[in-house]
Amino acid sequence: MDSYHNLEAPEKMPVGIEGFDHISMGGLPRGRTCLLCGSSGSGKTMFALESLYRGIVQYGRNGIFVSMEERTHDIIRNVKRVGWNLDELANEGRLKFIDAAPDPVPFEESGPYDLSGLLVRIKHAVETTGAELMVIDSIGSLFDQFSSAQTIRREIFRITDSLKEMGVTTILTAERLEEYGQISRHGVEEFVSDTVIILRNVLKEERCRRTIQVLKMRGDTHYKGEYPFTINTPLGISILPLSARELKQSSSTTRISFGNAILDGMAGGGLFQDSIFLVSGPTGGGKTLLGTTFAAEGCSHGERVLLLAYEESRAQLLRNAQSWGLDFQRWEEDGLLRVICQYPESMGLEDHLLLIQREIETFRPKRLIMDSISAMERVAPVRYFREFVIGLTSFAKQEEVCSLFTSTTPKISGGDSITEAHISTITDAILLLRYVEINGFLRRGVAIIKMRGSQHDKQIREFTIDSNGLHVGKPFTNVQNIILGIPSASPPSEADALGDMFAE
Amino acid sequence: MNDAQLVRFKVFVAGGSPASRRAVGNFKRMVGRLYGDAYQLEIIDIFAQPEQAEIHRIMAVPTVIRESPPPRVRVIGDLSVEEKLKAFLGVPG
Repeated sequence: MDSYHNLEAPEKMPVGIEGFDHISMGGLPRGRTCLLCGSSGSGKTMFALESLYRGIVQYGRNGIFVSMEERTHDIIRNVKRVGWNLDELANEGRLKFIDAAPDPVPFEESGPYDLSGLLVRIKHAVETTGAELMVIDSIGSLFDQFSSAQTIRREIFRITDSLKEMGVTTILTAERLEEYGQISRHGVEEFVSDTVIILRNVLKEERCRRTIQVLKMRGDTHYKGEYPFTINTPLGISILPLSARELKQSSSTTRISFGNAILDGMAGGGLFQDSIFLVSGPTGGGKTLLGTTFAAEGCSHGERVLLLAYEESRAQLLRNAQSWGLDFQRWEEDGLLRVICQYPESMGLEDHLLLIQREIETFRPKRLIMDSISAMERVAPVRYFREFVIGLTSFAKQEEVCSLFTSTTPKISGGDSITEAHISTITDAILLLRYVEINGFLRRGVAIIKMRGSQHDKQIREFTIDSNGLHVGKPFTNVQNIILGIPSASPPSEADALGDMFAE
Repeated sequence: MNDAQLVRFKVFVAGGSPASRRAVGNFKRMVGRLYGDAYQLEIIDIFAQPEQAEIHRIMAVPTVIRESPPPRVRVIGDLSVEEKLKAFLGVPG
């Protein structure tokens, strides 16, 4: 009769790759086999090497890399660019390379054989290094090197079994031929693996999008679905768990100023420190000026401000600010202002998000201006844009950076903007700027239509721009439909208005 | 016969497994037929000497490597298929 003792759920081993320990809910199941599959160029070897590297430098965990595709020297050279000195780790005995790449001289097969040679080398390496993590890159290569598929299948089982017995956590890489199809080319690898991770590199709308998916994890839970990631030298892989991130609501009660006392008053005293607010208006309506004023307010009080500009050049920005009497250049030199100008088309949204996050982490601004968020919307499919917005806003809130996003409405008179449809529920405050045509003159109106957590002025006030910057004036009276469309004179009294409605 | 003309082989086996014993037996028989006594055979047990497996990058077992004369060719398996061994053993044709 069998008896079962001391059988606990497998514990998880953190890998250290940014975002992975989150989506896998703790890392890889310790002592088990994980299959990492992906098409050519999807990042398998990179992921595997980074797991080994971080295992050693962050967790003091020795590792072994069995290379069946590339020569050891090439592998070491290839990652030098990322800043990983695998040769040093190898010389210190913390990382062992087993070269199992195909022999340039072909060999003959005469009669049955097994892979005891490989197994002995692996076992010997584990014993001499005390390694806890092993990578075999790639297991499918065995089918190319040897002709008896049946033998290879059997030997793969034997090898993974031995590794389990030794308590070594193993990552096997395998190639796939399609992004959305069969899991791996040879099919056997899935059955020896307790965990299956798929890396994809999909070309969509002329942009490459890398994603990672934890397909299964025997014995434990994980987040489902595909998560975008980037390979960002010199830091390696960064997985952005955009949808898994908890949406944190604002909780700060500290108020900060727009830079204009009347606007602060309209907002019930100013903006909350960890809020995200959207400034919407047609092109030329004053959004950039509002952003500039907000930035200047911060800098003139010694706060650090990060300005992300996607629509204008640095030179233009600085010149415009100068024309309103704001010395951006000096603030930059003083380290209070950081201006980042980018073409939205220059990289994918995941890379933009990563860049912004890194800037926030290193520069630690109290205020952020993104002019404009609509520029980002133009360069990606809607779903990715929404993920980008969620990722960015939740990060900004977490870091308590008061953020202003400008959004351009499609028509001069206003109209609906897709950007707004997506982010209006996420933002804490919305400020509308609109053109108003009254008696043959073009005037501007400003209104706060949303202000979470606070009372706000419901009136639409006149907004003017001159060489001194922006001014908020008196509310428009006797005019309606300013924000919504074509303004018209409002009737003298409510009784009369109602009278009109019920007139026969 | 001087040392340089001697045919030298290394056979890598996994302990005393049946395939290993067959390989050594088959090999000695064939080589004996071709070269008489004029060959050198070193039998290496990878279980006893795992570092040797690493040095020679042994994957499959049994493996026979011809050390000299060059080229350094190798054969894997229990050597029961004689056809495949001709080039390896240096049999012309």
